[in-house]
Amino acid sequence: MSAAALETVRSGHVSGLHAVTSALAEMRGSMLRAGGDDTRGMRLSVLTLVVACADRASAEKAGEVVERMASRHPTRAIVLVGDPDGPARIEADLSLSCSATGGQQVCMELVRLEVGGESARHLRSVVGPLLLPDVPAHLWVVGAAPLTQALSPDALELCERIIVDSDAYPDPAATLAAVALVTAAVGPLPAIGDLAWRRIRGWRELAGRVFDTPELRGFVQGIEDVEVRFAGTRPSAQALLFGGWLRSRLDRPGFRLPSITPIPDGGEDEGGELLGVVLNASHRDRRARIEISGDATRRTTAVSVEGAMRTTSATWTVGVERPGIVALVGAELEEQGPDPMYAAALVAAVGEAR
Amino acid sequence: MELGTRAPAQAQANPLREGLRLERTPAPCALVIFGASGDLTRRKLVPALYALSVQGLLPAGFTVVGAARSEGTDEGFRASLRQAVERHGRLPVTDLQWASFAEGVRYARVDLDDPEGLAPLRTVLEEVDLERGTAGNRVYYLSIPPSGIANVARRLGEAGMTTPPAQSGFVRLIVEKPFGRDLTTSRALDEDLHRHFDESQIYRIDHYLGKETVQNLHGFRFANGIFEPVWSRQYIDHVQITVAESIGVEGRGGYYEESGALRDIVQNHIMQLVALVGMEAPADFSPETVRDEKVKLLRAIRPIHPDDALDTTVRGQYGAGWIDGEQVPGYREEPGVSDASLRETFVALKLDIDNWRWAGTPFYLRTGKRLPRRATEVAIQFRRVPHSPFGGQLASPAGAPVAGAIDPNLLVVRIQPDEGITLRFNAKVPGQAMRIRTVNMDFLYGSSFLTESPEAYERLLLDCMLGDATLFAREDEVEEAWRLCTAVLDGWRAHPPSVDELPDYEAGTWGPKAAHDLLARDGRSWRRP
Ligand SMILES: NC(=O)c1ccc[n+]([C@@H]2O[C@H](COP(=O)([O-])OP(=O)(O)OC[C@H]3O[C@@H](n4cnc5c(N)ncnc54)[C@H](OP(=O)(O)O)[C@@H]3O)[C@@H](O)[C@H]2O)c1
Repeated sequence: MSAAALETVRSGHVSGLHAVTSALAEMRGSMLRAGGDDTRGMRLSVLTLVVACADRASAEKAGEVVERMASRHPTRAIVLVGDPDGPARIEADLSLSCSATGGQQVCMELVRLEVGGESARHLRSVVGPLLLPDVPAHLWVVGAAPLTQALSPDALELCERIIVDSDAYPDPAATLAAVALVTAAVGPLPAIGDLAWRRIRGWRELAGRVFDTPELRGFVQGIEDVEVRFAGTRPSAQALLFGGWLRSRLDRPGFRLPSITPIPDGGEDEGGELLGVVLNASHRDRRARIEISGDATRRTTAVSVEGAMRTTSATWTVGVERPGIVALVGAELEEQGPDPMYAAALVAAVGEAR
Repeated sequence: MELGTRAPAQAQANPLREGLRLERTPAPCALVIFGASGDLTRRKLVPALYALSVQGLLPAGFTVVGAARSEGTDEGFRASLRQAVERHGRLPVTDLQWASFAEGVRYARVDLDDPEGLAPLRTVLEEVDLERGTAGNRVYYLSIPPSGIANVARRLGEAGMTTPPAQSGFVRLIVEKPFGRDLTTSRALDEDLHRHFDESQIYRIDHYLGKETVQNLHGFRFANGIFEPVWSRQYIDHVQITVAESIGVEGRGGYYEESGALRDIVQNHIMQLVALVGMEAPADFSPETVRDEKVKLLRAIRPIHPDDALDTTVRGQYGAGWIDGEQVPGYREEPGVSDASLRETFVALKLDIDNWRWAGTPFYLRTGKRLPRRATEVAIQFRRVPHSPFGGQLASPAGAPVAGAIDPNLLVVRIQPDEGITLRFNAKVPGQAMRIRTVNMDFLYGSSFLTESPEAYERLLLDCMLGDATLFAREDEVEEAWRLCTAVLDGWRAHPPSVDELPDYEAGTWGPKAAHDLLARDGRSWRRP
């Protein structure tokens, strides 16, 4: 992603919600007036991103992430820290940054909002008036904010998409179960996006690609057992979702339902990242072992097929870039509507974990 | 070119004014404000007059006469007006400019209970005619409660103060909203006024029409060739008009108990917006042509029979809740409001327009107090693409928002607070796959190019002095709007809600569930303004 130089057009601090709304209106005015002759008088926006943070430190970091997404996602971002037990206050730092490339101007409005006191228990009334009309609102729940809050009725009513990271919680299995419950209850909207699910996308792609080759296609129906290695000590959401995904995809007539074993590497790394996947499969009288392993920069797929007559093996390696938080959240912002693959994987993962 | 303004040049065209900002300035005149001590005078009228004066738009000799029922002096009146302008005006007050404005400010005590009670006012006006050359030209502004209007008109008539001085002179009457409470009372008021004033002298003000952005609706529709061809049932699925207020009744509970959202907003402002959005292109922008077209549209609205009122309308009342991070009381807890009040603070309704342009394309209207944000907007929702080559569902059977559906195009004309025009369209997400994303394109439009646009009252006061009634409601417009609203009121009266059905929406939400259902039944949903 080429990040065009971002230029801060305006910034300032205001207190109280009315001041925030009028500052936003002024920013809109200056956004429309900024830019060259060909970009003046118009602005684009694709969504409002509400970023719910547990504290100021995580808000700081989230704000940086948001700023780095600016050129690709012309949004209004509201980075929110609520402190219901603190003193009553609404404080906001606002900034408008624009980047102009090739006659096109893309702007991002960033509101860092701190809400203290009773108002913080009624965030819908604070955030609602700040949402851009007619485009979706996405809520990104940063870190392990309590799910009851992240998926509260207010949030569900206000937002079209709620982005969580089920691996950020101490008990990923319970977290997935809670997410599954909400997903089942709310219907298609709002959609839930899960960063843990997005992190295993590369692994899903590699696993899927193996069976694209005609010689191996037959084995996909005969996957018998699967080992999923992951960083950490208890099954991570990524590991559970990967297993759930396989089960949900293979749960169809004529297919075997594999047994799935998550294998912790025992390391201190609590990120829950996948480290490797081994699939054992049979097809007619042949057996195949498929192992995908990797680190932060490359992944290797090794396939060996054992038949009555001969054994063949092949290995291929691809360079990967483990997606950073900017890419992960950015990809979520481009989604519209729920991902049925995720919903199915979630249900299967939760069933499995029980 | 100025749209929606001047009638084709009349009588005495002045060749030296051609090409200047205004093609005419008003003839010198006196503006008499009845209700000079009132809230509207202080907050809107006098600040508007001062701004006109500073901009050099008022004629030389222009004079404001405050007519009120209590004793007062010119000096005292001037001082109170200066305070009002300093507090509510959009332009700073300088001593020099104030002095020139204040020269033309007078005060007259009137006794409206006495047939001779206008004598002091007449004396002041005669002095003004002599001293300032206003030549008997008058605008009477009735900024008084509706109950007093007929009486003042009568007193003016009895005192012989309603006849224009000479061929070219004028006497005009500006009447504020609400214009009656229903069809019967508004007709009665018309009759009362017509006893002393000709319809051409009467200017019924609806300050929405003075807003730059509302006039932009004309400009947008009739100065651009590309929108008009799609401005019809063929391409438009439906129209939504929202007038949302986040405030409550602001201490005017007593007044609101008598009126309610339908009378306060729908009968005047919203019906005007409906007319502007739906009307045919007028042949020219003269007052009668424009208003003829508006009335034609209003007449094409399918009448709502009182028995059907509950099917096509929704009334609601707010309870306590949270707005802008603050706790607010429910309507029944407001001062001056009965604790068993059935008064509506929210209305939603569906209109069908039975003409070739709009048949089958409904207009959904809603207004309410204590909604999450303040916004007045007209949204034109176009039809969905007939087929999506990109997969994904197109329509929702139950009216619920559909995940992954391609959103139809939407054109939003935002009237306040952030005026402008937004077009929502769909674009491809950059990348390998063909994925579609909704993008809002937000335009500055019309007045937003100016640094500061004039207040509605500035425009309207000036138009009235110029004799341009285009932006004022004519008798038949008001009557048509009342015809519709009165039927709804009759239907509501026949089927009152029970005391414990209300309140039915929490302050800070978008109204009662029934409003959602009204659109869901048609497979549609309200947008979030
Ligand atoms: N305020 C607003 O924002 C607003 C908005 C839209 C429309 N309006 C309409 O504008 C008009 C004036 O509004 P407002 O808020 O200024 O009203 P207001 O403050 O209640 O009254 C205005 C003045 O009218 C005079 N008055 C009262 N009763 C009268 C009577 N029976 N006969 C003659 N004069 C009488 C009083 O002045 P004196 O005692 O000095 O004579 C009073 O100060 C009303 O028709 C209202 O519906 C107001």
